[in-house]
Amino acid sequence: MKEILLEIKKMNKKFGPIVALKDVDLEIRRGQIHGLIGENGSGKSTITSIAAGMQQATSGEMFYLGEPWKPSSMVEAQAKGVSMILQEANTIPNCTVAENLFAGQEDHFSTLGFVNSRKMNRAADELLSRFELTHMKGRDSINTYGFEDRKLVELARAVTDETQILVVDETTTALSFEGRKILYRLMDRLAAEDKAVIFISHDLDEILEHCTILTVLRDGEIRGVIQKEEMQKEGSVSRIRQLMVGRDIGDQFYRSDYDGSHGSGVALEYRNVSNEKIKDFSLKLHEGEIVGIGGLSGCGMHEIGRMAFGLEHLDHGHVLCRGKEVLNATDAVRQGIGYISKNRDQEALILEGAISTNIVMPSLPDLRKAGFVSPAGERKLAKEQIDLLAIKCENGSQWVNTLSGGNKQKVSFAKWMAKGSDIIIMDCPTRGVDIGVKQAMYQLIYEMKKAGKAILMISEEMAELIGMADRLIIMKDFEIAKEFPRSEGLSETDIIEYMI
Amino acid sequence: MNKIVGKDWLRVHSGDLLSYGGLVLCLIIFSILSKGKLWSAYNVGILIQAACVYAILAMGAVFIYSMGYMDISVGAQIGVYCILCIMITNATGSLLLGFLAILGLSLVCGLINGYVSVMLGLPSIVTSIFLNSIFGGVQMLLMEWVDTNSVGIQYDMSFLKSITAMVIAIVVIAVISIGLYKYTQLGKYTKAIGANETATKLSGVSVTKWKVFAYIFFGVCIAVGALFLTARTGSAGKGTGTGYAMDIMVALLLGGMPLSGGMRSRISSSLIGAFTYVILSNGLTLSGVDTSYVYVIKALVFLAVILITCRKKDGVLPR
Amino acid sequence: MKNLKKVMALLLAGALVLGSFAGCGDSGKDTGGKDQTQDEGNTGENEGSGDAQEPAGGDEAPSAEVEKHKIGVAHYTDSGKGVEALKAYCEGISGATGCEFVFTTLSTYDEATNLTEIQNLISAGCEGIIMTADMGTTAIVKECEAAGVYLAGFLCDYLQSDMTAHEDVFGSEYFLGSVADGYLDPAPYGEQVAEAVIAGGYKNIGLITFPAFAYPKQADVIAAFQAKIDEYNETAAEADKIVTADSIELNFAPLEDTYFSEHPDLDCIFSVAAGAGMVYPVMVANNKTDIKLYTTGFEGTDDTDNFGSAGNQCYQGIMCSTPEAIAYPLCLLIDKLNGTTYGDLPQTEVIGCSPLVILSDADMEAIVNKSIYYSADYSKALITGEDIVNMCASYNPEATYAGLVDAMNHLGVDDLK
Repeated sequence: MKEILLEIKKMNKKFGPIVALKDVDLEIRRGQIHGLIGENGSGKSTITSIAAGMQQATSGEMFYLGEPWKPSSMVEAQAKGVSMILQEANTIPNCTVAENLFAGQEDHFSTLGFVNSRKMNRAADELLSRFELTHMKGRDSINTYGFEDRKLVELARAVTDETQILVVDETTTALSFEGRKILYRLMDRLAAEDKAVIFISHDLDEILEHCTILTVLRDGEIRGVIQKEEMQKEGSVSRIRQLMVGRDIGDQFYRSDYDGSHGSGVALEYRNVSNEKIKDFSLKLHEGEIVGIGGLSGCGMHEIGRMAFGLEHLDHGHVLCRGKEVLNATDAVRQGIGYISKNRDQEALILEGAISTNIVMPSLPDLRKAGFVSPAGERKLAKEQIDLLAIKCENGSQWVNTLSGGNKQKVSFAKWMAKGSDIIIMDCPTRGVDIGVKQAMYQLIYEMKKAGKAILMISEEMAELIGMADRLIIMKDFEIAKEFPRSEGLSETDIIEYMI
Repeated sequence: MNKIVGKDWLRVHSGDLLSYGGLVLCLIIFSILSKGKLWSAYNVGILIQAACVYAILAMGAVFIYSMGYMDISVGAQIGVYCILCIMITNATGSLLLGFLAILGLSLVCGLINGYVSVMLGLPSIVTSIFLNSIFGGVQMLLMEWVDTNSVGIQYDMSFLKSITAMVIAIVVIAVISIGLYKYTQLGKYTKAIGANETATKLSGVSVTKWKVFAYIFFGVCIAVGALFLTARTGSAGKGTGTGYAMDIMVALLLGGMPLSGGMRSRISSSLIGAFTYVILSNGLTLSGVDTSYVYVIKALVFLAVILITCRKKDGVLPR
Repeated sequence: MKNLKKVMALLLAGALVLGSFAGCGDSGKDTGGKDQTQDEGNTGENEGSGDAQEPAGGDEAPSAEVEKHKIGVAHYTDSGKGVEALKAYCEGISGATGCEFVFTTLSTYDEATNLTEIQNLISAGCEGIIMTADMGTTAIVKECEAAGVYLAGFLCDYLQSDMTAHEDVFGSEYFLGSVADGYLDPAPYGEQVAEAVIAGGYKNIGLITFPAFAYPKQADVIAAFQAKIDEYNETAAEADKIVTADSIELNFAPLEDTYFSEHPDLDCIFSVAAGAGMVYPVMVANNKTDIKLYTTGFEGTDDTDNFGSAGNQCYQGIMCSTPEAIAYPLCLLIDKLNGTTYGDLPQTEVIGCSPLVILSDADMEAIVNKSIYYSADYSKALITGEDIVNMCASYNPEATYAGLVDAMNHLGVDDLK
């Protein structure tokens, strides 16, 4: 085995009474791409943030390159070779790419206190090309680049010649396919150079594919360390899931059947729909059918979802619900369509509002008796849904912003269940949701299909779409690229080539 | 388990408690300082008189503020309505006609505030500024036209001026407001719009329609308020109603209304606030506080109440 | 965060309590009453009108046994030299006259607010109220009638009520009349200014008033001014004729900057509308302080520093009235409350008083050094507390209404010198 780069012994971290890490031992060796996996709150980000200098441990020791390691800041840690890139945006707006890359190191390029921009830009271009980011130039303003490109600039900034350990904390969710490839290549290169990568992700498949060793955490403790050979064995996924969740969640995660049949009635139809972005989109969604739409982000699938709810302007074509045109959101709801937006906190939920208020909001017109709505009726309807979906809360008057991600998503679902909508459009329905809750949701979605509801599932998670859809539609550049019927042998590789 | 419930209940209801607390505090302090004069029959009567118009206006305003909006034009509107009511009643001899005229006008303004802002894609506060200028100008023009500093009503309004009538009016409007706010879609939707307009829209609520309804109800309250204002003074002039928009905002804030609206809004804020506002002025005079200190004290009280009842996360500013 | 809120609640309570006590401690604002007793609490304290108040051991004891009365003073503003002078004056006469004064501020624009303030005064125990604004007067008079409280006016001509609600206001037993802010018919000021303008050699005059529907008498002033100018022009040589621009109205907003570009040759402005607030600042902003300004209203700040031959020499004419004129409504109220009135008391009327007309450096010097208006020094008052007591029919059987009116006509600059 190769030399140990970073060793963590009996690390504890407490936030007041809350225990974030408990007696954690971890070894990062040269050449490893070490995956850290666990649910939200399992402690994986806490460990790495302590190792990279973002916070201090309550107790425990760290050793880096054999010496005791206690960085007081991220800058110090990066200078000594432990760098980290995060999920949130971490570039400086209104500056150039070069200024971002060399932030804090301007004196390398200055004489007599004046920064030589040309020199800095040249160095930046060189650095960018080393990271295969040739489409960006050092002198460009960083504002002209989107989220993903900025992330990649962060990457280029974080990895210097001194870097021994790179921590990638949930960064891949922000990146497109291309961006991820760049990152994977970088990780492989670092591993080949006998350096190490700590890779944190929610995506099990990604972790299994790219990591050489995997550590599973749950509730602040290490639950298992899995070597490469084990990862490639049968059933590794469900075993890892079990370690993450703490109980046997069974083999069934998505659907167990491969029956793509559905009702004959067309619940929702897109007929030659187009606007400035979408080009001539047509689709028929039947009762009792789950149609999945996937693709790279930016392929237009999110707009398709919004269109069905009357939220986008159409230049040509119609969206019809059982033959009648859908005019706007109010009309859509009245016709029985429900929409779960991917921007859960901004669009789907009133965070500063009670759970029951959120759940009954679409149903208020139905609860009316002579113009009045009885609060008791509201509470009853909400309680039904809370019980049905097992939403973890004190009672219905608790505010939604106190709930966990998974429970918030349950509230989004509950809205439309309470209303009795029989066409549901869900956009990224399980994003940020823990595995245990995910499984319950997939079950729920399957039951909805069996009950005859029509479901349009838009998602960036391939596995989810393959696992749940009766028909899988891949979009690329704002139009349909290919349609796949449900089948046992369908795999991601089959699909990917149509996405890019 | 009980402890957690207690803390939660406190968090949810702390706003209520604090706003009632402010009123109770004022009552206690001024009872002592005025040596009981606060509670004389005469004083209670004038408090009700002073608070009546503010309370009625504030109750209608709750619907607007719940949505996180504001209406700057209230004062100018009420000024014009008083003048028109007087002029029409004097001309036709019928108070009912005068009232119906201003009611109609206020409904139109409600529509404008509600619809036009949406049509033009402007925040409602902009249309209300525009209405404010128009009404202010109209008020000045009307007075120039009658060529006197004020108009007086010739109709005998002593019934409407009486305490009984005012109490009845406050109670009736309160019952209607509470009914609409708690038991119909209007109240629920306005709070939801204030909390998160997009999410409300995505729940199938026709936001425009309900905005208009809210402004229409507010318009009715303005008209009723104008009626009682006219009854109280019997006259109106070029400056009647000036500053009422601010007075209502202060009253609502004193009553614990969050400026950005949302789920913590209550009708009770309007009543508590209107009375607190009036008692503050009244109490300071009864206690003999020097006039130079009155402004400072009012400002301090205002600041303190905002700090206490406003939640930072909500953001303080309306849209 | 919860602790912070508790702290704020306590601070709020503290502020309210402190504020009210601060109001009680007004004796600190002694204005040097060397011949007056000072009790605490004419403006601050809160004793009922029946309580006995000991003189704090000064030289003066009230001459006769004066009755105690609580008088409310409702002023249309709460700041400025006029208010300070008034408060000092009231404080000064309080002991001798036996009157406790309670002040409140009216609004200049809303009738209902005024009604509320008057009601507050009544509720505070005032038996008589002196009011300086004529807004919503009908309702206020009705309120006073119902409460048995007497009302008299100060600094206001009650023209509005006289014209539109005469019976309701002047016909009421509870309204005792008013003294205006200066001459009842302000035309004489127009003539005086005209004379000064002619003497000063100014040739191009701008004229400014407030809107006619609100202040109809201001047009009379301009007319009187114009008449005098025309008279002069008849006999003057062509080159010496005085040109007057058409009078403009300020809509209660400051003068527009464009006025100066429209009238580029002005060397003098006569503004019957309050010039210190509405005209002078605009002149300063447009660098036009070489134009001479004749106006009404006296702030005692820029207008003193730049008057006549001082400062930028912009101000040349100022008119205002002095707080001692409050003796008129006060005497009427005291007599009514005591039950004895003048033998020669006529129907309720509005009289004028002689204003302070400042047209020369000597005038200004007299004001600065000798008037209570400028210094808020009670010792400079032209009418003392005893004088007031002597002018009351209920304390002095020899006192007459004519005498009271006469006293009101001797409050001018010449009386100071």
